[in-house]
Amino acid sequence: MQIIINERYYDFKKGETILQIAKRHGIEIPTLCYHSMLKPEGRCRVCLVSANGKIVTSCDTLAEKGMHVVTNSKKLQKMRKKAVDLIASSVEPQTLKEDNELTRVMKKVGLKKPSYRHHKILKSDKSSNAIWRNNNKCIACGRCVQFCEKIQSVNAITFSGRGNRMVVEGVGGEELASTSCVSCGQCSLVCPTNAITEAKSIARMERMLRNKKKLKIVQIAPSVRVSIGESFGLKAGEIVTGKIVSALHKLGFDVVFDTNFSADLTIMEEATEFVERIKEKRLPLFTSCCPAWIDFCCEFFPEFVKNLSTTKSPQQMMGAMIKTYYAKKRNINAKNIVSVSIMPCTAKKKEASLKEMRSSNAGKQDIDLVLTTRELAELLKRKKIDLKKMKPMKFNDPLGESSGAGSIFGASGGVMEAALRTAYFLLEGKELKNADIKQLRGERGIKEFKIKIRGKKIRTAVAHGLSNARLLLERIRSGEKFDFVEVMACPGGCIGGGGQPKPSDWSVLKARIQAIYEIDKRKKIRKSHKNPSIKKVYSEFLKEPASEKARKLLHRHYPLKGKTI
Amino acid sequence: MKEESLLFKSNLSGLKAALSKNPSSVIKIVKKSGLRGRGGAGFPTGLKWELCAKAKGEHLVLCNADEGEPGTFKDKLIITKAALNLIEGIIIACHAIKAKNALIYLRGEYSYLIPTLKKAIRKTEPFLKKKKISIGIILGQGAYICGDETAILNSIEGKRPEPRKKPPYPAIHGLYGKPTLINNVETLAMIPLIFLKKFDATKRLCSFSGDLKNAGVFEIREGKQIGKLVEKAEPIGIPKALCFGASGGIIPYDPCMPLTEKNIRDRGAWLGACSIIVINHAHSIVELCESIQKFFVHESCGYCAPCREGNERILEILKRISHSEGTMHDLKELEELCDFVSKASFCALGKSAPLHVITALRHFKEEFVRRCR
Amino acid sequence: MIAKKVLLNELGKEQKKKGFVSKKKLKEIAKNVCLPESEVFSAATFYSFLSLEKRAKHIIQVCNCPSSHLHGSDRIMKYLEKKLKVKAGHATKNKLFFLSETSCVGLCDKAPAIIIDGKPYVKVNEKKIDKILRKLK
Repeated sequence: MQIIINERYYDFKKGETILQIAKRHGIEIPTLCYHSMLKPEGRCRVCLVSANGKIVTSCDTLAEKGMHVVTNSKKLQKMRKKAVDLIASSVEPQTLKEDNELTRVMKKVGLKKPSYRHHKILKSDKSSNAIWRNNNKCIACGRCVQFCEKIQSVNAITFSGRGNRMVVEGVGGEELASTSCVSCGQCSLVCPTNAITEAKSIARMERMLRNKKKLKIVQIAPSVRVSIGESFGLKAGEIVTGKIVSALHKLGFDVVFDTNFSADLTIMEEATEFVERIKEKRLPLFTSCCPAWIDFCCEFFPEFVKNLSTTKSPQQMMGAMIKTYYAKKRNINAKNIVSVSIMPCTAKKKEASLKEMRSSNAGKQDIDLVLTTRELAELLKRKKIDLKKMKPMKFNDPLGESSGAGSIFGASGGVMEAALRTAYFLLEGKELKNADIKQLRGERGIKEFKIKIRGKKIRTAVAHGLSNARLLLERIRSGEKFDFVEVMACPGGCIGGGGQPKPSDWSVLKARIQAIYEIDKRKKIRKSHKNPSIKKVYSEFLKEPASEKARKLLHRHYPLKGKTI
Repeated sequence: MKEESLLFKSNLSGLKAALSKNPSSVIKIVKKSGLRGRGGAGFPTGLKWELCAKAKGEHLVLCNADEGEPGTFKDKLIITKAALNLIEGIIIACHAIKAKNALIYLRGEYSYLIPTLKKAIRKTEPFLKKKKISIGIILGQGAYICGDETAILNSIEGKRPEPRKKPPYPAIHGLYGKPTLINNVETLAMIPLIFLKKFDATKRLCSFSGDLKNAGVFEIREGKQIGKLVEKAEPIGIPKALCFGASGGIIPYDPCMPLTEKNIRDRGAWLGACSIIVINHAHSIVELCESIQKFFVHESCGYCAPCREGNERILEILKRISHSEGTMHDLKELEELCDFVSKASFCALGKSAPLHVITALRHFKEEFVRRCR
Repeated sequence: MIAKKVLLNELGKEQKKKGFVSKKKLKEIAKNVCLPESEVFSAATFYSFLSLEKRAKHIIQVCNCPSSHLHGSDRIMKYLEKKLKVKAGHATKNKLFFLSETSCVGLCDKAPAIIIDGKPYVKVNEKKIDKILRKLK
């Protein structure tokens, strides 16, 4: 079938929208509320085109055979400009001074400043320690609500009121902290005007960096190295590990550790726990490295909390190790350490603030401060540090060396793959021949994989995006049997985390995923238990996985009912 | 004119006549009658029934009694005086499309009519039992948008009553995805009359209000001179303009104009649900527009930006002009905005919201100019 | 029958009974009609007849349709605002009256109309209002 766009014929398949066809052929139609991962709702009306003489929104209008579409007439340009004008006039002026999707669309349609005065003053919501909302910047595009409802099935925020009184609000009119919000931050990732952001820590970070008396230590999560380049004009999936390390030193950090190392540590503890649980028949075991998933489980499936692994997340394991093992090694009081983590995630901010994440004697949080990938990029730009131009440097010892298994934590299925590489060794007594478990990779929402270990079939499943997790959990609830289950709250896993650079869609996520597996492939050591630094940490300090010390520092408890706070 | 005499009372005879025929011939008869939807859009009723009957799935009948168009109160009159006609129409519709469930969506402002409806339903009990049909009543809670046939579906399903994108049309994919026949009160109340050969497609009910001594519902014949109709309603002062509800637009009063949809359309307006508000020379069109615009700002659902933001800005400008603080630039901006909102909005509410200003600017521009600096 | 499970009717009943729908009741209703609480909340906040907080003992609504406008609804509103010492859309300090505009109530032939606690009063003027308000204490 063919459609005519601007006097030229283009092929299309049934069910395609005008916008999809135009995008595929590089025909520019400005959009604002449209997001490729969501159902088009046609709220903003910026993507107007004329189809057979009728004005329609291209995002939600299906192409028809022989349809005559015009995308660039003077009249349409004027209408689009008016649509953007009305939207731009509705936000507080500060929004228009920033670089965001709205201001970029304004440039595209040639709107310098809005024609009408902004006059609404609404309350901001900073109740959550992961996510902040400022409705004065909100353009009611509906992306956050749709993401929260459809992709995450969390239903924490929704539209309330109607007409010009309509706002995005916590359900029940509650502040975000009192809703079912699990802090995944996908809402902030898709917000075109930064009306929803991470709970900001940049100012505190700058203060801490100025403090000369403290030893400033930072760790970076596996998925940050494949995404932060985008904020500096690099392609999605460009690996910039060494450059981040040197940029962090330039910012003023004394020591840069790698969360990939503590990911290996997580695998040691989690695989050991899995082996124990097989013996005790306490299955399935759920992974526990994603704090948004933990909140989701506590909130919606409390009966499965007992199935959550007790191992802490890599961020918190590193946090505990820095203020105990490393402090001792350097002969420094943990109180004089500032421990920072760079995470792709908003929920990590909340995780760091939990009461049980205080394992050192310093009495303070193990991780003092969490910055999202976006925040780090902003901070570097503020300090005029161009990541692209940095000379690559290596992570510091002794918490800087990692295996390929640690690096794939960043992608959905990675934790399971890494855990199986080690669990196989622990159970079978010999190494898994082919470390690649391709069945656990890719974008499918629920991935299943069975492996025979010691004659026994181990059934594993991986879910990403919380609505997929919900489906999987409901299957388990109704009797389906699994032994080991990995859940990541964000689509694609941490590479699609709520704190990652914008814009984010599946093409971006795929490129990041590819880079994650590329890092794994390049590593000589692909299994956590083979990492020499891991071996050293156990021999020098922890003794063995699940030892008393390991239990104290690297494991946690869960509240019986309700969310983690 | 006495309102009681407006509607011929079927007293179950129309229902009996219709039920004696098979569903397909009922649809044929309705099609042949020339009845068009009386809610505003004027879609041929028989054709709608046919489309719905053909669709697969459990069929539903939904009576739209959410008469929210300002200046319209004919459905209220029908329910008050001839509820039985309506219920008969609903049962005939159920019979025609083989539906077992029917709903009446009554606007919250008419909650006092529930007993009347229930009484009429009770009167048809034997027929309902025999055909295993149940009729439920849903009471609206104050939202003009629910008059839209897709918003009403979301409202019943418990969602935000925002309109849905069409297609799919409700007749094919309606309430809970089931083929749903949605008809307005007046449309359904005409059905039994068709089967008693008392139906005249050239006549319809018209709500007259405004600067009139004898406001009320009249039965009018298409093509009659508007002056004669207005005279009957006894104007207060000298009529200047006619306003067809909030969404139908405002045109100059011309007593010699025959009342036809075409004549009104030619003047840029829209007869819609047939409500005529008469405005005399003592009243300002600018202030009337401001008042109507307030209504749209209040009733916009907020789903799409042009209607949500645009209508508010239109009101701002109208207020300025009305308070003699506007400029000629404002007037130009007003024209552009109205044109944009009427073309770019998501649903019919947004698209028709600025019509009153567009038509007022076409016919009464000098009233606006006079107030501009 | 479908109408038995309809959210709108449940919300309407509670509003009529209590004068508002509490957050607790909202949750309860959501459960009864098998809808997510978020959807029920979102829908409930849409309708002008529903409120999640008690507004006042008496609700006064002034019809703002064009016919009422032509018959002086603006004047009536101003009179009420002055008399009750309250702005439209707000409740009086003693929570006795809540004053608001309402969209057309279908009484255009007897304009101007106001609705007090669901009961319509037609062809109102200042004198009539004084008389009605005296009875409402």
